[in-house]
Amino acid sequence: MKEIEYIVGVYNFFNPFPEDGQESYYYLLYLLDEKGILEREVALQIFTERYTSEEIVGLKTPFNTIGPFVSLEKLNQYAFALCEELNAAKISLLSVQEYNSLLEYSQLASDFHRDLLEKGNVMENIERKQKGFLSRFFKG
Amino acid sequence: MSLTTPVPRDQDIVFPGENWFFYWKTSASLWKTKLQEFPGTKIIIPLNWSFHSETGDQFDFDDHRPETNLKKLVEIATEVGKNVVFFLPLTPAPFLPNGGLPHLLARSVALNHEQMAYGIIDADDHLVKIYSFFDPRVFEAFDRFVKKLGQYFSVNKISSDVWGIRSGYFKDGQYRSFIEDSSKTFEQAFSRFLQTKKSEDTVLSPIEERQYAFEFNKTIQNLYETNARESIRDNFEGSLDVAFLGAGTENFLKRLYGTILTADYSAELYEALAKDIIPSSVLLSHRLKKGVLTRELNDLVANSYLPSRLASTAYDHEDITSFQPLSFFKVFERIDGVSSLFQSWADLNLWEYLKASFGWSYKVIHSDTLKLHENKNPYQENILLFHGHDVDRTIFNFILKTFMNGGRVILNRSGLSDEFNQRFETFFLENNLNVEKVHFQTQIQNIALGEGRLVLIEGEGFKELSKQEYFDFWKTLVETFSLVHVPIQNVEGLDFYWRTRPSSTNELKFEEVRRLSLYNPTSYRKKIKMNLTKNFVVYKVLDEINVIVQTFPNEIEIELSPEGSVIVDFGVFS
Repeated sequence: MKEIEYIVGVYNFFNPFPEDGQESYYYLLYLLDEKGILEREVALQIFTERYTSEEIVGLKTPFNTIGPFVSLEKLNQYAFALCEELNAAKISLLSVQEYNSLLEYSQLASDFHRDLLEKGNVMENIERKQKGFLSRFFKG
Repeated sequence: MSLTTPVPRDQDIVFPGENWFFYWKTSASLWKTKLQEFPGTKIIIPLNWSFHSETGDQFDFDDHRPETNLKKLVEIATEVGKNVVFFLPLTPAPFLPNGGLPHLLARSVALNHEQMAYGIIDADDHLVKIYSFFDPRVFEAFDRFVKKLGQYFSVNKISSDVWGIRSGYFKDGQYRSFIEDSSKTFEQAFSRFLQTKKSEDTVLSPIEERQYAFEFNKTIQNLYETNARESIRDNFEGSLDVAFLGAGTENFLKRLYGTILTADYSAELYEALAKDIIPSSVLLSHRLKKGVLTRELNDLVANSYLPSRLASTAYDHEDITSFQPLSFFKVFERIDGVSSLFQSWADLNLWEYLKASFGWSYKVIHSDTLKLHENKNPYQENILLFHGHDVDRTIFNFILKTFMNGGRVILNRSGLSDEFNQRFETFFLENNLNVEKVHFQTQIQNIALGEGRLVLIEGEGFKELSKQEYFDFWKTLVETFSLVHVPIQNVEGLDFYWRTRPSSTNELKFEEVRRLSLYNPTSYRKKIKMNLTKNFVVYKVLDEINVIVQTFPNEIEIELSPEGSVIVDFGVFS
C-alpha cells in the first residue's frame, strides 16, 4: 500500500441551514492528498465514530462536507486524528479566507499547489516518522 | 518514445475544441492558413472583451492591432468556406485571463457559493481567476463595450450570428453560473437591491432572503443580456448556457494535483447534455483530451448537439438525417434558489434508477427550457415528471396540455398547493375521468385518456425506504409505460449515449433509427452484451476503433479494448 505523504483540508465557518434555525459551525469542504480528493467514506467514518458529540446530534450537514465542528480546536483534533489514521506525514488546514488569499496572489498553478501544502496550519505526524517499515504491517 | 514534454501544436492552441477559434492567439496574417486547415464548416469565435479594451474605456477594433480586426476575420472565414458564429460572454468567461475583464476592472475577486474564490486552470496551464460582475464599474464598462461592438458590426456590415453565452460549471451534478458571487462586492450590491424591495424595519426570513438573492442574481444576469441584445440587435440570436469541463472547484483541485481522470470530464459532458447545456472542453489541453474523450466530444457535441443548438432556422433544427438525444424521461426541476429545500428527485432516488436503467437517456428541464420540450415528438415516447411544489399556472397548463395530447406525466403531489389540487380534481370531474387508485409503497393514482396518462404519486407518503426499495418502486412504475428500450449488460465503467432519428425514405422497414455510441475510457478490456427484442435489429456498425463486434440472432456482443469505441445503429419498428 502506498502511503499518504500529506493531506490538505479546506474548511469554512458558516451557517448552511439558517431556515432550520441552525447556527454557524465549522465544516470541512475539501480534503485532498497527493492522489487527489480523499475518499470521503474514511474521513466520514472517523468523524462519526469519534467526533459526534451531544452538541451536534440532529444537526444537518451540507452534501459532501464533513462536520459540524463546534470549535476550531475540535476541527484541528479531528484533522490530526485523520492524519494518524491514514498514516500521513502531515496535514495542512486552511480556512476559505486563507485559500482565497493564496489563490488571489498566485500567478502559477504550481505555486498555488505548493502554497496549499505549506502555508496552512500544518500539523506533522511525528509518530509516523518514528515508525519502522515493519510496524506498518504488525500493528500492536 | 519521446522523453521531452510535448509542445502543443499551434493549431491546437487556436482551435481548443468543438470548433472554437481563439483569434487573439495567433497573428492575423496566419488566420487564413489556420482556417483553411480546419476541417469543419462552422467556426465559433468567442469575443475577447479584454483583447479589444485594456482599460474598459478605449477600444481597439483594428485601430492598433490587426488581430482585433473582426471584419477581416469574418471575410477570411467566408472566403475559405467557413460560417462564423460569435459567442459573446455575458458572465465571467473561464477561458480568458481575469474571466475576460479588462485588467483595470479586475478588482474584486468573485467567490462561489462556498465562499471560495473561483480557480480555473486553462488549456495552457495558466491559473485563471474570476472577478465580480456585480461591480457597477464592470457593468458600465460592459455596456460601453457592447455598444461599441454593435456599432462596429453595423458600420462594417458584419452579418454573422452572435450568441450570448453564460459560462458555468458543475458542482455535485448541479450547473452553476460563474456570475454567482458571494463576495463583499455582491453583498453591497445585494443590500442596495434589498433596500428597494423592503422597508428598513422589515426582517426577512432566511427563505425570503434566498428568494431575493436568486431574484437579484437573475436580474443582474438579465441586465447584461438585455444590454447585449439591444446593442447588437440585428445579429443577436439569443443566449446559451455553456458548461466548461473541469472548471468546478473539485476538478480544479484534481487538475492542480494532476489526478483528474477522463471519467471526471466525461461525467460532466453527459450531465451537460442531459440538462440541455452546451459542454465545452476548451479549458483542457489536447494532451488531456487524446483518446476516447476527443471522440466523445466530436461525436456527441461538435458534430451533433452544438450545430443543432445553433441552428438558425427550424429547417436546420428539424434536419431528418441528424440524430437527436434519446430521452425517455423529461424531469422538471425548478431553479429558484428555494425549491431545492423541498422534496427533490434525489430524495426519491430517481437519478440512480434512471442512470442504472437508461444511462443518460433523460433530460432535466426547467422553466427556461420548458419551451424546448413543448411539442410531443411523433416517434419518440417520453414521460414527463413534475413535483407538486413546482406547479404554477404555466406548469399546470403544460401538464394538462401534454396529457390531453396523449402524453405521459408523473406528478409527485408533494408540495402541491390546495389551489392546484382542487383544479386537478375539478378537471377529472368535469371530464368524467376514472381515477384508479393503488397503494404501492405510497398512494398512487392513475388517470388515462386515450394514449395520455397522468400518474399522481404521494411523495410524502413514502416510509423510510432503502435504495433498493426506491429502485424497485420506480422500476415497477416505469414498466407500466412499456418503453421500447434495450438495456446494456456489464456497462459499468463505459461511457455510452443513445440518440435517435426518424427513418428516411429508404429505411421504411423501420420507424426509427437509434444510435448507440460506446466508449471505453478505462485501461481494461470490457465486454458488453445486449439481448435484442423482436422489434430491435442491428442496422449498421460504424467507426470501429479497438473493438470487436459480434452479432447473433437476437443478441449483440461488443468487446472494447482500452480507448476503444464504436457506433452501432439499430432499426426499431413496432
